[in-house]
Amino acid sequence: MDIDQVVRLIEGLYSPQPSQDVGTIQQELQSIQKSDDGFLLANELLSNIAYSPNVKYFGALTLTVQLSTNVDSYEILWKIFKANLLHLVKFCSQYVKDSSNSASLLIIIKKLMSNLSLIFTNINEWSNVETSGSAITHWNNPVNTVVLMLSHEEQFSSRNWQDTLETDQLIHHLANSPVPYDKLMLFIKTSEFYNKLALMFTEIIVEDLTKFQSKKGTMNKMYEIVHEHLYISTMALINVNLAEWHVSEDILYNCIGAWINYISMARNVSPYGRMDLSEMFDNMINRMCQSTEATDGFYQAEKILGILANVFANDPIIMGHPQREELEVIFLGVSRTGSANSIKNNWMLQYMNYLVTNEMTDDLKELAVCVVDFLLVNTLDMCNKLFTVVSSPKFNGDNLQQYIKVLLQLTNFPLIPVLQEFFSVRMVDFWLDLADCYSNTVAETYTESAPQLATEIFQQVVSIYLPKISLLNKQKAMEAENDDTAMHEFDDFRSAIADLMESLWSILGNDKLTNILITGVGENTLSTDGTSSVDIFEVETMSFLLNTLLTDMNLRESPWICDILDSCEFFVGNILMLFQVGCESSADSIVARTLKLDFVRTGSSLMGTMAGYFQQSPSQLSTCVDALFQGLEKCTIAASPADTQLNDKLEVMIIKTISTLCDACRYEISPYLMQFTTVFKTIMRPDSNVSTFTREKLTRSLGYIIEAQVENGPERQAACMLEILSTIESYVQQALTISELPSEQQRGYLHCMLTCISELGTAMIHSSEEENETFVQRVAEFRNYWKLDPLQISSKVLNLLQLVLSNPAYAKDMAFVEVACLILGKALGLPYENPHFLKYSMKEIMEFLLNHISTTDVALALPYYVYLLEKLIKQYKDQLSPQDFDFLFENFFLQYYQSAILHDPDLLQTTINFVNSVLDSKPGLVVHGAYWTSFLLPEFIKCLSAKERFTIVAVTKFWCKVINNKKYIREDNELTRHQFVLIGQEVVYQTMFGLFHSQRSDLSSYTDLLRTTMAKLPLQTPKWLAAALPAISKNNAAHEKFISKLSVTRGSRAANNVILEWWLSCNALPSL
Amino acid sequence: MSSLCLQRLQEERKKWRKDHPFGFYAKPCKKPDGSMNLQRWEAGIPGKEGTIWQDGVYPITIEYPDEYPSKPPKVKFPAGFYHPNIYPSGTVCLSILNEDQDWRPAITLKQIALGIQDLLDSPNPNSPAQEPAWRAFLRSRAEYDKKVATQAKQYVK
Repeated sequence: MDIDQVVRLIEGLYSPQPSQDVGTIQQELQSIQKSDDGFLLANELLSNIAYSPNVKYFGALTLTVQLSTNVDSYEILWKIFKANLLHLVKFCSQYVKDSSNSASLLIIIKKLMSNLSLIFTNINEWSNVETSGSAITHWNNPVNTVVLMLSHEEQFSSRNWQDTLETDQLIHHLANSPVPYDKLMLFIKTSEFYNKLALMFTEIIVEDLTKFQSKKGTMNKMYEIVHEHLYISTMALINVNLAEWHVSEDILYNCIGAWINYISMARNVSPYGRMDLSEMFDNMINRMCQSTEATDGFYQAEKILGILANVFANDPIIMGHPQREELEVIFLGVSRTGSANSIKNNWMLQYMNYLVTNEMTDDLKELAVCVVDFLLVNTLDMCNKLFTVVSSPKFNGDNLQQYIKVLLQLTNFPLIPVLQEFFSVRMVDFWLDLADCYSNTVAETYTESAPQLATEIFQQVVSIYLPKISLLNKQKAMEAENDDTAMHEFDDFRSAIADLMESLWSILGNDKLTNILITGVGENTLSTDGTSSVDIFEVETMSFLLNTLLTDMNLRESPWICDILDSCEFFVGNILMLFQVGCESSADSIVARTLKLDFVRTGSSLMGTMAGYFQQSPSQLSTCVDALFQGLEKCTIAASPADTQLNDKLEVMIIKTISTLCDACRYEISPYLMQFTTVFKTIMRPDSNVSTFTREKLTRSLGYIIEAQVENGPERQAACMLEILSTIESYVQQALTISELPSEQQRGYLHCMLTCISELGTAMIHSSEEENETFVQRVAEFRNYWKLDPLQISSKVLNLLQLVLSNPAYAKDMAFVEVACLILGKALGLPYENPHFLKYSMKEIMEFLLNHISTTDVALALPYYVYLLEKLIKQYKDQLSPQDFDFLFENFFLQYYQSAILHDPDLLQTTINFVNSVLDSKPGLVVHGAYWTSFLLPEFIKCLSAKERFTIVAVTKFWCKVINNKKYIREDNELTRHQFVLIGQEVVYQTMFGLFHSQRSDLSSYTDLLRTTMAKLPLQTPKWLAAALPAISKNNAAHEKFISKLSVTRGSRAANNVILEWWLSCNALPSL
Repeated sequence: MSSLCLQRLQEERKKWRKDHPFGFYAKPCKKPDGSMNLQRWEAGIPGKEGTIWQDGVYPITIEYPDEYPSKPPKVKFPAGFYHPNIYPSGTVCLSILNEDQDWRPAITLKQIALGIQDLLDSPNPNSPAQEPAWRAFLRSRAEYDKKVATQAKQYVK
């Protein structure tokens, strides 16, 4: 391909509408770039003045490809180095002479600079290189080299920028010649473009070095060279640019940013990475303070603050102490050590004023981030100075008080947080850090006044934040913004304040925080004339924070808090008002809906959290429950789809609170059983507009109250339950009378009715932790009652289940099978002495299942049956015989084994797990059964070579239990050991066969089985392995190693490695 | 706790406070004496909008071992949490939390939290950790969706 064709291809590549496929062009060009002709091509593309910038850029790119292709040849590197330098100097010269017409050269210049930065690393890191003598073996300072070459530009241009003997000698001479400071200054003052190019070059070099670091590990020699040479010239360049008013600011600041990043990285990996930046930071700070609205519209300040923000966020210690102190004075007007300079702080005030006046919220946010990150650097020091005796003798207490005052003012920035200002938002981190520092400080080091001072400061912090996190501000923020961001940011702000309160609690305690909030919520109420003296937003804010604090407390065991709550007569009333305002407020916009939700959430959560208090002081409990039910009722009225969505959320919040209160205060609430029952009957109606979740939760809540009806004995409980179950029964029968196929809604409703029975059953399980005294005294009476069950409640439930499942549509619906099994198994596992209305006998459950199995789809129902059967065996194991197990196994598994179970790995696994659970519970039932040797052992040997992980895990567990089972009695043990010795060879073969053919990620599933077999049968297992392995894989060396290692390996991890090693070796994969 | 572990956890806390995705929360637990236990965190993962998980914020605990960050933290949902890749004990089965798989010391709390949020709606059926959810996810999507929606109500935002 000739050069013209190549040029056409390149132009095609960069054309917006290429004439041929770009992929094909790239492939063709890449092959030339990588070829031996690549270097010549690059030279030609970069030399011919007629070529477009795209073509020239491609030339520079070709040099990059050549650099990465010829990584082993120092001679080629040297050749590329010279060519790159010559082209770079040529283009720089052209650019400086006519920058306006040569702007397009910049991209080529940057690429060539980047190539040289790579060469810079390669030359210096190429240790012990042997060259023909014509190449340099180290390169100190690429910037100096380019400066010198540009100063000798005519000598190169007269050779037409070619690599000749003369230019070669000159490059040799100039490559490592020093450039004194004066000469460098003279050079950059010759032209602003020289200055710009020099800054750009040094920036590119350190950016690349920062990038290379992660790829190459340590580059000690490079750090040393950069430290000794490039750093010195660069600092000279940067400082003169900062001190004098140059125009190329962006390039200057990019260069500064790149150097800070480089030093930040390098100082952690090399002693040569530590470089002093004091002069640079001094100059930056001075320049920042010279930037005003009048001079540059604070443009320079913004750039410098951006860099400082990056420093404080990532590596604040890179800035020396004097500079940080100076910044402290600028930012705050005062420093911790006592320096003060109102003039410099005036600049800061002017800048903030400018940002506020011009509503430059984003810039104000960046400033806040920068200032607070800066403050966070010194929190520990500040904590020591404020609160401890560990402070320097120079420390001036008054000054620090002033310092704190400024920080509090900053926190109390007089605008709307999130929307207009971010200082208060970011300052949360500072106060949280300070609070943590204070709490973690050894108490002995506190000054005498520390606790008092801490209290004063943090109480002010609380006072500042209370109005800041008001939902009024959230409302304003949401109204001003079109997207959700403001809402989310505000919610985050509130959560951060809640976290802060938790930390402050350990300093302020209940006295100065919890009680203050309680009083704040409960000290006022509506005045008699109806005008409100209560700010509902204030109540919300305090309730929100109070909820965070009270959640961590057990109010039932906190009499002091309960006393305070009692003493605030309007407290509960105001919480209710908050909740009711939320329920009744309009929902005509997104903002209104959000606030409504927030009000209801805060009100209902706090009511739930106060359950412990209501146990102590139940007088207002019923009012709360009434309000919650009224709120629930309102949720059933929806005017629009948006309302429905909102109501769903409100409904869930409210019913959860009701349930929490009923659970915790079941005894206190029990006088209201009738009202609850009435509500229950209403919401259970098919036409009631509430969710199934609410129906189920309410049934459980009602169950808690019924569970608490112990005073009048079991008869009272039974009567209540009968009423509930009769209601459910009638609705179920009503639903079943509909002759046509049930709709999805009907199905859901019917399923919900059964789930409610299950929920009632759950609620009636007595908690052993919170035993009621009366119940404990009368437990025998309850037990006897439920044993006899005179109202036939358990039969009623059983009949209802049978009725539903006799309908073919529901018999094969697994949701119904599941809930039926849940109900029947509800009381299985409860201790014998615990009474429960859902205690069924083995016979009842078996009859139910056997009846049902013929009408359902066994393949789908089996997992639910197994859940029940496992519980059944655990409960009645002492009454069961191996024959019973055989009967059960035959009817639920064996009959369906060939037709359904064997072909479905899930069912197979379910079956194996069932047997495993019996082996865990009472192994004698299975090992002495008829199917043990005739079916289970031979079948489960086959399963060892299954492919599915679940099956493998289940079956290896089975064999582990066969070999090693703590539940065995002596007869079981002797029998199974004898049996295993007979089949051990086959088990081991199938195990190893399965293991060999399994995926790498499944190997560990076999570890326990192999370890157990080896441990329990140490003599036989190696022989079995030796016989089995050659038939699986022809790798005797690996087998021998495996057997010998496995027999001495202890621990699961080590055994895993032995197995993996064998597997890799036999599968011809690289070893570990 | 090693100094490396402590330093890194303090750094994680700082980073999280400064930058975390909306709707998530994470904070170290308190010891009985009220001091902070940096090795055990409580966090909340909101379900992604537009998914069946969207209505809930799901609580997790994160336990950092002494060897952290060489070893990954153990992340747990409440026991019995319904998801194909969550073990019955609540432990999360996720490659970035597995020392033998994709764990790297550079992985941050934010990445873990986002990884778990992703996992909620994109279960990996090839790495099942519990049977009921895994089975329903593969065989009966309607049942799976319904159970997830009910669970979301339990952890409503």
